[in-house]
Amino acid sequence: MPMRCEEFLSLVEALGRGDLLAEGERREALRHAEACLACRSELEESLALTGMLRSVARNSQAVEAPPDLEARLMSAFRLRQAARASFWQRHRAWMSAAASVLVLGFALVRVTPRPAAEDGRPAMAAAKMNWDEVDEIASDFFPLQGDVDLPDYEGRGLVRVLVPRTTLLAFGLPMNHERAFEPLQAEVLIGEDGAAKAIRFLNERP
Amino acid sequence: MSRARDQEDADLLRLAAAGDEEAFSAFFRRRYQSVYRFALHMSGSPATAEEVTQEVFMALIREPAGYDSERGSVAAFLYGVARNHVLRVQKTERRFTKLPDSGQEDAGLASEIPDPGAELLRADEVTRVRRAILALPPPFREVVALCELEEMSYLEAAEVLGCPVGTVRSRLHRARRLLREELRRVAGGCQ
Repeated sequence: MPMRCEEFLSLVEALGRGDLLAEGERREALRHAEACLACRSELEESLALTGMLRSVARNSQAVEAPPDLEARLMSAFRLRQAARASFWQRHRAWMSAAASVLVLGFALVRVTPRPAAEDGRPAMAAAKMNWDEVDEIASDFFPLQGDVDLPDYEGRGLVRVLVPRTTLLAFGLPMNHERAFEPLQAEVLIGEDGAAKAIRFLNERP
Repeated sequence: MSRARDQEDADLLRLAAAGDEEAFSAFFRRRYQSVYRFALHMSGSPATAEEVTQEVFMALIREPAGYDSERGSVAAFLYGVARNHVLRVQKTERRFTKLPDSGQEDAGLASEIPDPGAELLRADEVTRVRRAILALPPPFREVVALCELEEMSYLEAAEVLGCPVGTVRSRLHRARRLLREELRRVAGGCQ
């Protein structure tokens, strides 16, 4: 029985893109297209579409991601590894933590100690008390050592550092790519043992 | 997506998860261009494609064990994560249907992709097809991106999309019909 238009149209895209069809089915479809002007036109259009899509695919091979993407991600990878290493080495005191800070802040150019609150409250609370004194908005603290209980943590103070902006990526935070090469201010929370416990990022107030 | 290539990818990912920077770099270089291209085909926006590609690899940096070889190939995993990110961006920003009118300068995909050596007619044709692809609803756009532009088999696309092969086949059939209708409509409008 000859193939009907409806049946042909259900196969036309497979025919047009050269999909594998049963030999009998393919032969019947092509025979139908020879006899039916409308269906032949559909097949020609489908074949033309395949050609156009292949042109687009070929053309797309020339597309390349921005060249700095790799550098940004490799930087994030290194920072993440450094943060992980810090987690596992948390029992090493000052030297280990200082190394973590140095890795995070290799662009460190300025260190400004901030005193703890006079009433002896934890440094985090002190930082909040002084909040209005600084023209900045801070992120939450991110632990540099996995088991730090930040709300109850009694630290000694904060040190202000400059870190590469890509550090944000390592902590899963968004980064303004237009400012990728500008360093970012951060504050490192130092524990009683002198080790870096957590970091938070400061942004200029808009 | 050959089995050998996928095994190499899986090995590199395992090394990267253990902190091997060279392995991560090698893995990134093998895969990031295709992830970027797929995101670009899906979004039409170089900025979104860049953001999505970054997110895909950042997800691996944050959670290196996120890939489970029991659940499919590395390539399917990457495309799947990229697809989810693109759809999330699409949902929040609704930027995919904002195609420029015919004749307007296309600030997105069409103008970003170099077409060296192509004749004017061919470049115009490529641009028209890209616009038509971007006008497709996401379920149809993604099968076109995977099967036609990334040249995946139905089986590979089904793995990425997490649906049966038959669904991929029928969606692609429908997508191509929609593309032909759109191209016919645009061609008619130009006359």
